[in-house]
Amino acid sequence: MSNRLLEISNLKTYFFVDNQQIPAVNGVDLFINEGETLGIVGESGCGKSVTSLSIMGLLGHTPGKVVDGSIRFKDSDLLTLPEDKMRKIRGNEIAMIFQEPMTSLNPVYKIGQQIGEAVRLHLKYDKKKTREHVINMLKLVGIPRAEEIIDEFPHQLSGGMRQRVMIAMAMSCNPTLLIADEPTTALDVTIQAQILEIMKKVKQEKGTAMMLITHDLGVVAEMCDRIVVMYAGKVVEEADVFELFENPKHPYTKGLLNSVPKLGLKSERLTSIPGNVPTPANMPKGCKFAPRCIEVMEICKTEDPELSQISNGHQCRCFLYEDEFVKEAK
Amino acid sequence: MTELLLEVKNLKKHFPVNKGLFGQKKSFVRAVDGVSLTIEKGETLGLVGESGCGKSTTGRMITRLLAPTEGEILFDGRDLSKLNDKQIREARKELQMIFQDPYASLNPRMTIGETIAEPLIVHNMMNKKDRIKKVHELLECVGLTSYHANRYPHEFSGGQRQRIGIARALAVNPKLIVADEPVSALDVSIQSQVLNLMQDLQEEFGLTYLFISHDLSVVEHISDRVGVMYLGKLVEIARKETLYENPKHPYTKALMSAVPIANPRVKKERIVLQGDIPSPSNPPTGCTFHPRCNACMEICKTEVPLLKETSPGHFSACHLY
Amino acid sequence: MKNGTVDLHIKDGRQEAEKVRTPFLEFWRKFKKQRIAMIAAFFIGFLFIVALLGPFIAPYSAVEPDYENILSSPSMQHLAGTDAFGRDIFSRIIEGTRISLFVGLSSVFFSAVLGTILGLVSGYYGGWLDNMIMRICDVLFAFPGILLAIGIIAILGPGLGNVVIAVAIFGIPTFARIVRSSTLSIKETLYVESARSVGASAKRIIFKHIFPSTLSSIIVYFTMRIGTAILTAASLSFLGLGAQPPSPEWGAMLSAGRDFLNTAPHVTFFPGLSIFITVLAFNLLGDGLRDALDPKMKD
Repeated sequence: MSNRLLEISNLKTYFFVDNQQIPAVNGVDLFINEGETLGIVGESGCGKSVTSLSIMGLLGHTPGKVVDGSIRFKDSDLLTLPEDKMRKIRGNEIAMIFQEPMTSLNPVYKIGQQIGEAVRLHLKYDKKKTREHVINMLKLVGIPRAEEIIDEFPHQLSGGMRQRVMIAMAMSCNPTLLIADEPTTALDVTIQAQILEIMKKVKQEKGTAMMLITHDLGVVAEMCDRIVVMYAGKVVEEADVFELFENPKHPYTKGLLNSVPKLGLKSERLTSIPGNVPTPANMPKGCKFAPRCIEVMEICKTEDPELSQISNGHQCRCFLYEDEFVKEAK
Repeated sequence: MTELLLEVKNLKKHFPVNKGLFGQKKSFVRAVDGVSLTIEKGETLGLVGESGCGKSTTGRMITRLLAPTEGEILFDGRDLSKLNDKQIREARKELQMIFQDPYASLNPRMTIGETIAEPLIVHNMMNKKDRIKKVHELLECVGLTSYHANRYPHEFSGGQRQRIGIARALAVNPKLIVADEPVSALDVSIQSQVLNLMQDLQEEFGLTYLFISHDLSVVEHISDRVGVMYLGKLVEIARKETLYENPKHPYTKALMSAVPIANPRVKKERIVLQGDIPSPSNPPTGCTFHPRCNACMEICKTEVPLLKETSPGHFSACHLY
Repeated sequence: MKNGTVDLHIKDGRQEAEKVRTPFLEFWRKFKKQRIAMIAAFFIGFLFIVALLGPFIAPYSAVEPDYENILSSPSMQHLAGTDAFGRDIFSRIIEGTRISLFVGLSSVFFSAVLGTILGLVSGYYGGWLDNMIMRICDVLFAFPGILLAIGIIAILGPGLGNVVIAVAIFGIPTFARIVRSSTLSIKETLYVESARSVGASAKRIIFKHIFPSTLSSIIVYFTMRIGTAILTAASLSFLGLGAQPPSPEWGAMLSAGRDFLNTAPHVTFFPGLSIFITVLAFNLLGDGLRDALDPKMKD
């Protein structure tokens, strides 16, 4: 089995607004192996983006703070790392792609300058070598006329092109882990298809591990090896991609899979999950999903279940499987 | 049974763009460039396409939030494109709209009750007492409770707000509802609730929908017939079964194959389109899709293909057929 | 319908217990937290009471001369001393409160009403009307405020009523601009388009949708403007163009006292202090309102 690259345990990130404390991430455990693609699926407010920002140590300008847990990357705990060491990891070892390709690029710098900045900082290349490297990266992500594009400004590029530039930028220092937060959500379907192909290709060539955060189950099915489903700041289910789609256990995962209309599958009616995503202000007491769950039991309303193993590599946070849980130390 | 409710003929919208220092040279963005379609009573017509294809502009022209540059909009026997401001306002009684962004489409300073009652007030329907009763009925109808009427939008989630938008559109018993990306801004589990609600209401009130969306699976789910738009033109339109099983136009094919399937076992042959969508201010000559098309012929570069019936009820605009 | 029944009736247990959170309550929650603005609000409330009760609470008459006590220093009998005619300065300040508040409020009220109407019309309809209104505003803006007021007084003649008109006129363009710019952005919002889509008329859209949304910036600016208006009115009176002696207007009192600046500084000090504190209170209240109503509106 391959090596653990990143391991998060019991991560808690709270936001402090108006003298209130809002648990955005409330005890998340997950890991990523080298070269693996992990999908994190969940709806808005489930804490998937906050988890990624916690890993990158980018909560600085938000009212959020990691209050508990650890994030082990290779041999170091990212949470206790001093800022200067963290800076060496950020962009170099762990890179990130954001959702909005329009706003994530600085409009006053040329494409080459933006990508080159990180290259010169982390890889310590000289000017000429940097330029060569940047052009190679642009070619890698399938940008035509790379030699010309390098001297253009972001506003001269289309949305799809900008997202490619973002990927080129993220990959420019050969990171071991790439975090992609909804990388294709803002793009059109045909452009999304192009970007997904490029991400697959880049990953294959460089052997980078990837954490793909999305709400699109189609994208996850296509890209990921293993999937973590999050709900209300917690992991509710984790399994490899085939297991999760063919044998989902948690009622939320089941509901999610059933509520998406599938292309070519004629269904008169969609099964939907009733109710709304809970807000931190009215977080239910026991299991966070209990008020919307169709298989809810008495115990769910008072107690929060633990994330436990059902079969090898398949974990679920639900009282329904109390008997099936493999009784062994994790 | 096939009674036509709406017939759009050669609808065009060109937005002028001023060029040069004094705006003397005018060029046009051809947002919608000759769209013709029909909607029968009680059916749902889905309109799909990528950003900038003109699907929203088409919807806005049909509800006359935008004035068409050219073309006719025959609604229930009247040409909406010829009406003056006052007549348009009158006509909106039968023609309502649901918007994409449930957060921005409700006035934050009005209670839900006031918002839902607004169409009734502007059309001078009912007295105050009946209005309140109607608002409560409508709220129940869309799965909220009458208790919500005197609350403000900020207390509601996206899905609930979209229900409010639907309730408001229903208030005046419209014949046609134009829904512009009504579920795109919602979470997956909430999307299906709203889609189900729209279907239930259609059955209950005999509504007709024009459903605009970029999401092919959603459109397939809710529509009876589907039209595909590309760069201001309708490239293909057919019953949804025909269209999804046997797409004719190369663009439709590419679009369908681009959608990721939520099944890890399916390894699909994907047609990856090259390049980006061209700008509608300077569309390619001939067939606007030809620079990206994998079946491009010489004729495509010079001649604009017309929408032709390739099999009964299945129209596509491609020189291949 | 089997599945539909579940989602058509959303269970929401907490709804019965909660109060309706109106925009006003939301505002009050935020405003309450601002100590300084609350103090300013209380002070202004107090000023209004003083202005209303004026003559009833003043210990002496504000206009009757008392030649026994000319220019006497502050003492237990005359808390702020007396002026050159022996009138009790404290009483005069109390009665002057009414004049200052009246001038401030009424002039700003006129500017706000006219400016808002012009701003709404100009922003909503656009075109040549907008151009014309805005160019007139530009012309008015080109004059320094006090100079414009002096010019208007020169035409209309001195007097308190004319001061109100002068100050009102030079406040109009600012209100018009503020309202116009918010109208322009609100006009483009989806909820206005949505109101149009249900068939609402222009009149309804302007008054039911756009105006209430601009109200918060109007209120904030209104409050801040009162301070400036009081100051301008006092300046005009100081220059002898506004309230005429023996009126206990604060600016006029300052003017009358300036000959005794060395021998009896209290004659100018107390009216000056009143102007200072009142203007400050309105500005602080305005700041507080802005933070609670419209945090984006920072000059």
